[in-house]
Amino acid sequence: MNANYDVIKKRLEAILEPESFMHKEEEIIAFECDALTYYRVKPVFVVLPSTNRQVSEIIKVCDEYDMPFVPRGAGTGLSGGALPVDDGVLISLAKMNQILEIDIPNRLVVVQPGVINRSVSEAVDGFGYYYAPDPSSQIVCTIGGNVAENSGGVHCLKYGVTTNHILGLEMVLPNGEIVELGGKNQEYPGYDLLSIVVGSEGLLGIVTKVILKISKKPQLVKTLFASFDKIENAGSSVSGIISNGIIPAGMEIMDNTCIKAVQISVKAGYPEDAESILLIELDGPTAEVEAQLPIVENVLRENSAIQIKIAKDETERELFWKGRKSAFAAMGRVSPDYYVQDGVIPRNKLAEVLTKTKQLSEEYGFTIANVFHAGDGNLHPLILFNSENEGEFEKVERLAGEILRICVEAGGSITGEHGVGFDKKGYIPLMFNEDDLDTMQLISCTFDTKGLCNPGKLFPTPRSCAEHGMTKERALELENKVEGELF
Amino acid sequence: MKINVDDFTKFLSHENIHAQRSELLKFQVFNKLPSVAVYPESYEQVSEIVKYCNENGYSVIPFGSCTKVNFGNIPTTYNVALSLEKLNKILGHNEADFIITAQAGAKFKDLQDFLISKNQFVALDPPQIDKGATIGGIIATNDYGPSRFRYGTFREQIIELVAVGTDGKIFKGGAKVVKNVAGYDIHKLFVGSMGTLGIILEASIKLYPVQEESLTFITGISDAGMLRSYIKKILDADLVLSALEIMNPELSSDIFRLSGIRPINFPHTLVLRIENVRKAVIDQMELVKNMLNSGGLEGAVIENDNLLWSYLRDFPYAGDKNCIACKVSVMINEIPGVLEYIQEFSENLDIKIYSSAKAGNGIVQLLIEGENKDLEIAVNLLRSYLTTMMGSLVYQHVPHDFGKFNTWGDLGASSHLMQTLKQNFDPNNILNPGRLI
Repeated sequence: MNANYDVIKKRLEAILEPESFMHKEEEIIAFECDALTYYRVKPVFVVLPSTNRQVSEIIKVCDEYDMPFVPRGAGTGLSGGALPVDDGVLISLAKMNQILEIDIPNRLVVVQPGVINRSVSEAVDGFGYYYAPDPSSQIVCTIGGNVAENSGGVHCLKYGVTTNHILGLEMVLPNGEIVELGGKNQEYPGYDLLSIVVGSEGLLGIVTKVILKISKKPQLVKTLFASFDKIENAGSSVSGIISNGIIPAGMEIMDNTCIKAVQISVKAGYPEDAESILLIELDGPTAEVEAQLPIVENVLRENSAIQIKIAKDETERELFWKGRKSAFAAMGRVSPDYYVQDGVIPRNKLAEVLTKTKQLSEEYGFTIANVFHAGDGNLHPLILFNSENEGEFEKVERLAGEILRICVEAGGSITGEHGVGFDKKGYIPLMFNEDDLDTMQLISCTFDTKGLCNPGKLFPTPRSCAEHGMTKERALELENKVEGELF
Repeated sequence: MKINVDDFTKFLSHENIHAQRSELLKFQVFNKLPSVAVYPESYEQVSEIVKYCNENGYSVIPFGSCTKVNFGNIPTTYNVALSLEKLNKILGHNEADFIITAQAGAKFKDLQDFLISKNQFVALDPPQIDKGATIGGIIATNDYGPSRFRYGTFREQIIELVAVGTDGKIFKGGAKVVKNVAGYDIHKLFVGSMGTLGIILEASIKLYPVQEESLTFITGISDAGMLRSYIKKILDADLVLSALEIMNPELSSDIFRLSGIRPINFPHTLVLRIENVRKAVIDQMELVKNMLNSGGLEGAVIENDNLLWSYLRDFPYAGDKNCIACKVSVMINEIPGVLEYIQEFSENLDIKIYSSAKAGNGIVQLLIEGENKDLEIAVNLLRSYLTTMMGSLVYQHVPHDFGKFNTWGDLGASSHLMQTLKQNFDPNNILNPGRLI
């Protein structure tokens, strides 16, 4: 507990409206974890500022008393990026939820960080536009959280991820200063600091305003799936389609375990006996989609597709996607608990990685279902387990780690869209050596010399900046305070 | 500062150390010549050179093929030219995964020619590639061409970067996969960093399949009002364009003559390109024709359009004349106004302006020819006009004897963060000092 608890409390209370300041156990409990619920920590205070000024004032208090702080959007993150610090302040941006400006001629929308992803698209839908990044949690997750995690979605093969759709932002630095990066133009002189802040997992400051690029809605969308008796054939269809000069909006592969679970939960019309299915969405001008569709069908047939089904109308199209989007939740029908990983592999290594994953699954005795953003190599293995069984979660964590190791050995990454956060920071050394991490530290220190902003995330061991900074002792102390809790 | 050239023999063989004036001339940056030019052949050698220079306070400027030496401010100090010419290999091509890895000194054209033979390509069309522009140089300067409209800049294409820091550490950012959020995106930060944060050694780049067909539509537009309405129409239409450029008459008559296209005499020439599978191109081109013809515009479809786009790609080419090349960045809907302003003010000055606007990106590339004093008046006028709309103007080429100038203009509200970043990466300010920060 910070020795200045009472002073800090008074200072924060003076900044915020009473209902936006929480310190009682029963109030704070809702904020003790994000969607990675295995880890829970109670912060000292929870604050819900409504303006950038308030965010700045709060951070100035934190800076003055060396109190760590953690930003939080909707708490849908899957890597523990919004896990609180037990002697820190949790800053929820939920009340900063206004769309500030819609500028159709310049194809941009200005929003506060607490705006929900989907509501941006809804706000510009009438003009024929939408906001392209569409993480599965888009009906709840916030733009601020998307910026922190550089969120993807099922359409990023063709349209890119969050970083490709941010023109500018306003942020409060860890010393309380408000700065603007980028703006409404597509190009500004100087270093591209935006590219660093997007995806920095809340370590560099708190974003208080975001300028988003919006895109024109496609004229025609065609969704189809093909079933295969070998997952390799689904994989080679993916490269076959791309080699033909076609970049679909999305390509998703599901394995049999996944298909079965989905069929039980939402009845998406997938063939239950298929070893795998490949879901494809083509979108764009009618002239383009209609020219591409027969080529895609050809590739699928060449790769021994058993069945090809094109959604006949919007209802069926939504059903196909519902199956894919509810894949995680559907696991609840077949298993008490599941643990999701987010590895990325080179797209041509799918069969090899799945074989190894299967071996691990047998070795550890857990079923693994696979959902795969096949277009961009992002694998989501779902490990099915029962947390009631003593010691199972620890085993699952080890297995998940082994899967990440396989992904990196195949030339991939430990995370494609969920972020490193608290969950995977121990695996960062699989990808980056000390020199790489030292270089990243130069960036941390550019923004946050004291290491107060979202400490204990992303990096395995905190490093200190030249003059200030967190000591290793302090880091270990933080580490030990996090309970590995099962639910 | 006196440089002890012999010290470099600790890391390099004699033939990779050049200190004769005649050998150094190609590395001249404005009025400054280095004392030595070094040609490392390995990453370790680059690391040792940079570390040594850092410890001794020697300033270093990295070079690829020297195609953009007049881009950036005059360096405050300059001792060592570090050529990456010998680090020029293609290290790997994962054809099935559409990824290529190449060293910084690899020539973009070699890479692209190799890939096109495999029916793939890097989705960038930067200028100077026929003159040998390298991967490292294009990344460092964030150079791009007309296809930026569809594919973006190097920031969108780079997935991994390996570089050397001033302490000699070899580090990487990103990974060789197309989707990845592990760690800070150092690879993206290095795009446009002008060699001021580290020496780029290698990059991995996303690839795209070569498109089956390409067609271009050309039409003339007579005034800014019509231009505004047609840009809007085109951007709102259900089309996937690869590029959309608006040329002024000076440029269009030059480019059409060079590409063997009959010139059209209009204040604005709109050129748009569609690339896709054949049927999709033909069908979309029909839509373009119908849309523009119904507005009373007549245009022509150009079939073999590669030559035309290669000239547009290379614009602004600095010719023999005294000139400034620069790029203007504003919001998309300011473009017609900016073009009108440029046309008006050029009539009152003794200069000749060639311009092409990337109408969908809010960017105008300019080549201004004239005497230094007139060039100075022109760019100052333009810059003050642009401040009214929060626009920027960056010089990409200025004459050797232009005197004092500021390549970048105002670096904006986060310039102090940029300074801190530079200081953290390069505490002794030895990498390209003064050229950006």
